[in-house]
Amino acid sequence: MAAAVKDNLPVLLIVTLLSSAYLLPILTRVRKFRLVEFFAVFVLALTFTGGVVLAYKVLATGAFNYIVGGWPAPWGIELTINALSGIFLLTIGLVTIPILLYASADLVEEVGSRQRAIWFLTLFLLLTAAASGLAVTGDMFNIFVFVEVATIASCAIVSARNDAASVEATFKYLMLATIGSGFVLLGIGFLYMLTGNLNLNFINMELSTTWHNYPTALWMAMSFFTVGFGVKSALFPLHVWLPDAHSTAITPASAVLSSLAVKGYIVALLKVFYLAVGAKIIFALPITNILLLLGMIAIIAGALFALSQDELKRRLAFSTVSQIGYIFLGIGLGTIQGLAGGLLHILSHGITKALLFLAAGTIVKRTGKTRISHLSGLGFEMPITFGVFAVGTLSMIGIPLFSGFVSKWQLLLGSLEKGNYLAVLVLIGGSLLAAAYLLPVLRVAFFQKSEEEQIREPEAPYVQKVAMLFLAVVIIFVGMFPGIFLELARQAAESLLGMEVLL
Amino acid sequence: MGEFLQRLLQNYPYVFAAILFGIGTFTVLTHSNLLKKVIGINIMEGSTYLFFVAAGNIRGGVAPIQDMSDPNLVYVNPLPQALMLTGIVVSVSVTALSLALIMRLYKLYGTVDSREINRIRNEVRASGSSSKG
Repeated sequence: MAAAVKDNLPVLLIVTLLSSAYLLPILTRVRKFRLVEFFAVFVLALTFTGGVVLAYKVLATGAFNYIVGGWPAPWGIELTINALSGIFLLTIGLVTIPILLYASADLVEEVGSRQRAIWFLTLFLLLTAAASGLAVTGDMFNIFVFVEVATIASCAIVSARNDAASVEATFKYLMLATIGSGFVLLGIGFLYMLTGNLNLNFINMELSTTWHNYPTALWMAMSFFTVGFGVKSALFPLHVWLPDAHSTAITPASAVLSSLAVKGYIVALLKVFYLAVGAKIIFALPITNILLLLGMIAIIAGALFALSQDELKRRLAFSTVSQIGYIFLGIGLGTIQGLAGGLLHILSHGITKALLFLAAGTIVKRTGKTRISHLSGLGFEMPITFGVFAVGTLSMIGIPLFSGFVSKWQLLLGSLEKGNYLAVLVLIGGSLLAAAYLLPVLRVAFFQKSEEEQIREPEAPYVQKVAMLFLAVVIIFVGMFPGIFLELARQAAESLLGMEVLL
Repeated sequence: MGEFLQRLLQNYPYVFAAILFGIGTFTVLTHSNLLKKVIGINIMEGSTYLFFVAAGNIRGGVAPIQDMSDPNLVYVNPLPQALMLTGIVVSVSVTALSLALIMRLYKLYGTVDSREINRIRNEVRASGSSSKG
């Protein structure tokens, strides 16, 4: 039994999440709602354990393929588990468990009714399932299906509260994300026409010998993928949906969207680029240079937009645009060091932004104040919430001993190694701007006296404090002992870029 | 040039797919009527089905059901068609979700025009802030 579970772990992760997502709506009749929430958290913890086991296995023995249903590769579906899957599965677990714990404290109150709360949990598990699927899949069409599941789940989760602002944001998000899907599907169609395969490894084998015959078609396919996944992962000029969607959703939804949903598409893009098409062909096309440029523009422009927002959650949403730029910068550098930094930033931005959104949500909910300039004097009223917000801020800026430092340091080393001093400047400028848009929150909260008479604001419920403290501890842990995460990111970058890039 | 035109004519399904994709995307991005946006999305997705099915088609081919009596039969590729079944399922769910959202927006604002919705929201926001101030 244990051996069977261990052998089939990759597919069990997805199956467990998907089936429990659809089991949840049946549980409406359970008298105690806490049990339902506990069940959802339990499922996430179970799959997180599976993810850790897989990541450990990849670290120990390298990447491997899993054949679904006993049908070998060109006919059946194959899952590819490599270090990239490992690092993304770890991110998923570390982010979703605290967010769902946080949500469980006041979910029914937030979304309006128990029925809606259960739907929220279903969507949450579906989103996690799709993200895990993107992490382990090794098949082009599987990527499309998981991308669609993630898109629909993340759109629907934005409108969980069903108020005017969030429904509008959802519609905008859905339309743009569907255009993105259309582009992705066309890209898949091109690759299928060129190679006659949907399996990533087989496409790679086919293309590595024949791509010289049709560079234009390949170039078009790559641009379709870049635009499609770029819209979905909010790469700078295509980010217009993100601020509305992420700032109007309920707190746990914005946290999971900002920290997880947008990253899943980046993982999918990396799989298409490096597993299917291969590093050699990607570097022959100038696509990484475009990503590098867009990443740099995103870092600066996102940060400037963030600086101009006074609403706390909107500022955090624009900060996501800026931080996504860091990941694309890492991909664009095209070196092992740079890509490792970008991949590590998926993890470190994930936990950091989740913590910041949860803390911001707590502040907004407890005090009713959505604007940063109104937060004066609250720091000492809500020490734990603002304390963890400070941890998130320091990590986002990239202060040593926090997780953000590790990934940004790798990116910096990568740019220096490449001799790209503009990227170095942009990285440092982005960090300074991050300090400029996040530190004022703390300054206003701690050092500005409030003019109103002080009413002791209630702190968050116990569970929410535990969830936020857990994330803060994870951030500091990753910052202090980055060894194993660095190793995983490095191995992922090496396996994606292949050995020929080293020369 | 003549050769190019001839190739275009030979591959007319792809040309139509590209035109439809353009029409669909243009409709989504430019029309302010939300229902027309959904129609645009459907045109765009329809064009990708055409693209895929054309990619798997062979002129003179028959449906891929094996017929032992005639060894000269050519079968079309069934895989793109199977994939497009999934694509249709996805686009139906996207359409359902977007129509549900439009219904909700209509109940809230009494219109399905995004410009009108913007105007109403801005008016509400302006009156809300003035009453506070």
